[in-house]
Amino acid sequence: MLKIEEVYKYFGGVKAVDGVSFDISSEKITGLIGPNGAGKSTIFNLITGFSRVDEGSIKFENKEISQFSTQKMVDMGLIRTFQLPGELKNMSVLDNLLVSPRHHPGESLLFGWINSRKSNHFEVKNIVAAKKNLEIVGLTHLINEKAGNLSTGQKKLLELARILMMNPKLILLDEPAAGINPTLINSLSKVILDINKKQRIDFVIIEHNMDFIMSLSDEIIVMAEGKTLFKGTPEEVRKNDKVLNSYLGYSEK
Amino acid sequence: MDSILYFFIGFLIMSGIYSVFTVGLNIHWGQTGLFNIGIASFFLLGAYTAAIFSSPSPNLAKYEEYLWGGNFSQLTLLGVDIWFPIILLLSAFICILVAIPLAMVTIRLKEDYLALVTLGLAETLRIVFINETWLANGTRGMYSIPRPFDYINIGNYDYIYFVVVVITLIFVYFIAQKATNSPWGRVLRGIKDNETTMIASGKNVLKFKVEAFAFGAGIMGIGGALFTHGKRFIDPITFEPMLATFIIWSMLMVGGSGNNKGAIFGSFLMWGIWTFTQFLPGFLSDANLRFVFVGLIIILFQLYKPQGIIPAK
Ligand SMILES: Nc1ncnc2c1ncn2[C@@H]1O[C@H](COP(=O)(O)OP(=O)(O)O)[C@@H](O)[C@H]1O
Ligand SMILES: [Mg+2]
Repeated sequence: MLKIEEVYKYFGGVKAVDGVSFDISSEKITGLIGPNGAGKSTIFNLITGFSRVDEGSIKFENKEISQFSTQKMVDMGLIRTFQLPGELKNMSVLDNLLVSPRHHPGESLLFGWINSRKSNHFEVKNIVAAKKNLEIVGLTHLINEKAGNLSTGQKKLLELARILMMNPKLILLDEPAAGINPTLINSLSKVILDINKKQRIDFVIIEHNMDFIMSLSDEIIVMAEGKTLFKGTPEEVRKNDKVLNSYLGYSEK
Repeated sequence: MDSILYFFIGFLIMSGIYSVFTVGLNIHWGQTGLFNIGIASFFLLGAYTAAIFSSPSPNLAKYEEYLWGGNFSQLTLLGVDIWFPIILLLSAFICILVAIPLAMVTIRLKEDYLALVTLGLAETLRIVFINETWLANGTRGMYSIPRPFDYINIGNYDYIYFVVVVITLIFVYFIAQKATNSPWGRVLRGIKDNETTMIASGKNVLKFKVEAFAFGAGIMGIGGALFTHGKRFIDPITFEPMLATFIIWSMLMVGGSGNNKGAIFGSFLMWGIWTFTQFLPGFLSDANLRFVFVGLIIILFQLYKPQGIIPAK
């Protein structure tokens, strides 16, 4: 469903992404690993319209999307997170979810007043969906809490719930397990699997936590110095010499 | 006794007018995080629009160079003054017309540019109105500006204007509340909290910011028009930064950024402090010292009560 071909992105002399190709098939969780500076986050930026490729092609569901705006990609169901939790800190957990869906008729300054019935209808529908999604991630009890007061792990779960409000097809998570405690890593893992299996939403996950990513992924792509080094199942990755040499030293830290 | 009452009504009128500006600033800063430090631009544009359009056509005996007056103050419908609300909307409209391209160009560039550009525009507009005497009589200013409903005779006109200000403020408060509590306003709060998240959620952040800027600017334009018809005299000095930008910031900071009620409360409080410190004895009532005092209050609030007296929910 996502196909990346010969993609390049340089920042001055830094070859952040240096001719990367891979594709991601449907109904899978794909891990993207590699040492710091390998170009993983840059790939996410290119896929989601936060940055433009120098060269190469990115196809999603057979459509060339490398020049699309982020808005268009979100409409297509391609949604991401960042390394830092992106909660809206002064807003309630519920409002974090309600503000997320696109094309809310009430979000027009001019027509929101005229469309108020349509807007209310949309809002009611969203509140139902929000409650369901909070239940999926296990944050129902915090529905009225200010998002800024949540723990880092809860913020990452909140992010997943927020994304579910946007009808995603492919979710790209950048280091979701970073900075959260082991118990919450477990629930995060379960929630991701649950979403993947029950809702048939695909994931690409950048992660340094090897236990987490190895147990979760169907397939793993290893990157180093802007290039793809290897692609295979977690088992194959563990056994591969190239990967061992260049990367797994890192994971033992 | 009457003179104290008149003074007090005058104070309420000015506080009410400043409340309109502060509600506008709250849309910009409190709601969206847009750093407008040239409120004076929209204050001036609203005020001059009202003055020019409501004044009679040029009278050579009165204004030597001044070219054009809209003479809207003659407009009546079935014997009722309808020109005043039209003038208010016209002032808002002119401000919106200026705000949209300004926001589209500067917000796209970089966050801090908005501060520079708003500040620069305010001074530029002042200089334009000083030099282009044909436009609004230059430094001599516009005077004898028509008043709404002045055929109603109840002794002191200020009572009538007080009612006009209260009704206008209620109207402005109502639309500001409705907009900020709407899903549209919720997106603005989201942008203020975490812009990147809102972009990643597919929101057209630039569009929302431009809309918020134009909306707040329109409200400020209404404030400018209210000021003009209340004072009946404006000149370029009226729009110097201290009383046309700086004090409005102090009102929002003290009252409570992000809350329209706080904005209004802060306006009455700070205008009260500004007004009544002029009666302090000796050098204490010096205008510059009073400005320092206002600055000190802002700093103290930033340090000890950054959310203001009535914080955002
Ligand atoms: N906007 C940018 N400007 C300059 N250099 C960048 C930029 N973004 C990333 N880089 C560089 O590109 C390389 C890859 O970065 P990144 O994709 O963040 O790596 P990873 O996420 O794998 O740790 C790094 O050397 C980084 O410093
Ligand atoms: Mg990274």
